[in-house]
Amino acid sequence: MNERTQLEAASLVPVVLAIGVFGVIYGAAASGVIGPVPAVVSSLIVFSGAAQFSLVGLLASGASGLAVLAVVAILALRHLPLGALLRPRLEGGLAARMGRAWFLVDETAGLAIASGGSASRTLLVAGAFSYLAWVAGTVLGVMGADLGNLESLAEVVFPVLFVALAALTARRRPDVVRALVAGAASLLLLAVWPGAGALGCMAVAAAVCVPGKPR
Amino acid sequence: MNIWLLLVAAGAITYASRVATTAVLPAPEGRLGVMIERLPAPLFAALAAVALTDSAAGIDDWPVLAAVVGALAAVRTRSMFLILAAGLVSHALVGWLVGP
Repeated sequence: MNERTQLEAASLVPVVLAIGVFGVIYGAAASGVIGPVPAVVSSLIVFSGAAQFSLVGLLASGASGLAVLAVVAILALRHLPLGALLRPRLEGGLAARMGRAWFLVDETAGLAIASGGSASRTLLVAGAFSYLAWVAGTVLGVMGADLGNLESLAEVVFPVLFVALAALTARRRPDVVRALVAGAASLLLLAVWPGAGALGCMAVAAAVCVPGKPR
Repeated sequence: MNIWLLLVAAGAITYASRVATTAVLPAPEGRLGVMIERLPAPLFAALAAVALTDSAAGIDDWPVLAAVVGALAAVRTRSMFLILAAGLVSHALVGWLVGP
């Protein structure tokens, strides 16, 4: 493993730890609503913070199962552009891509796309560690683990990670301009409509990237 | 709805969304293909905005802003490790300066 690869592997550590911390928060919140065993099973079979926190929040507020699934389906739309970005970068046949798709979350997809090496390997390694951290965190949360000040530290990892991913994937000047416009427009959108969330901001990013009509 | 059925359905929906464009649907071509090619940097910039406003501290929290500025300052290194380190060190430093 060369020095660059070692540094890139080391950058996984704060990301995986932050995912684990949010797993603890999820486990603590979910066990009181759906019970400890379903809380852990949900992390094992869903592996999506956005979907799982929404599921628990909606059930706690008395929403029906169909309403919960509708929200889960809407939140899952965020995987479509990430998958489309990953597809040309993934090696192997249909079965290999289907297996690796399990590990697709915002962070792992970003690390795979930005990696200078094999996107397939990065997705697999980052995804496997993130999955283990998410499930282990959930178990610890269900058991009542105390995080102390780790939550605020974990929260700062994600904005910094996405800034890094935007910078590393902006390879030409037009990419930089589009990234700046998308970031600023997303902040503006969230200021006027906080409910827009990730999906609204992804739509903003997509709008920035629409090519002009061919002449 | 039974909780187990709900969890299995949520898992199936989420996995279907992951596998759809990664493995099953044809690769985008034409204008959609060009759009997807341009998407990574703007998409992650948009997600940075979401993560920034999602944090409990909020966008007007000095240590969080310092983390983003620190990360941006290290962008020219083009190293994920150094950008993350710069962001986290800036966060710790400004957090220590402004106090709890």
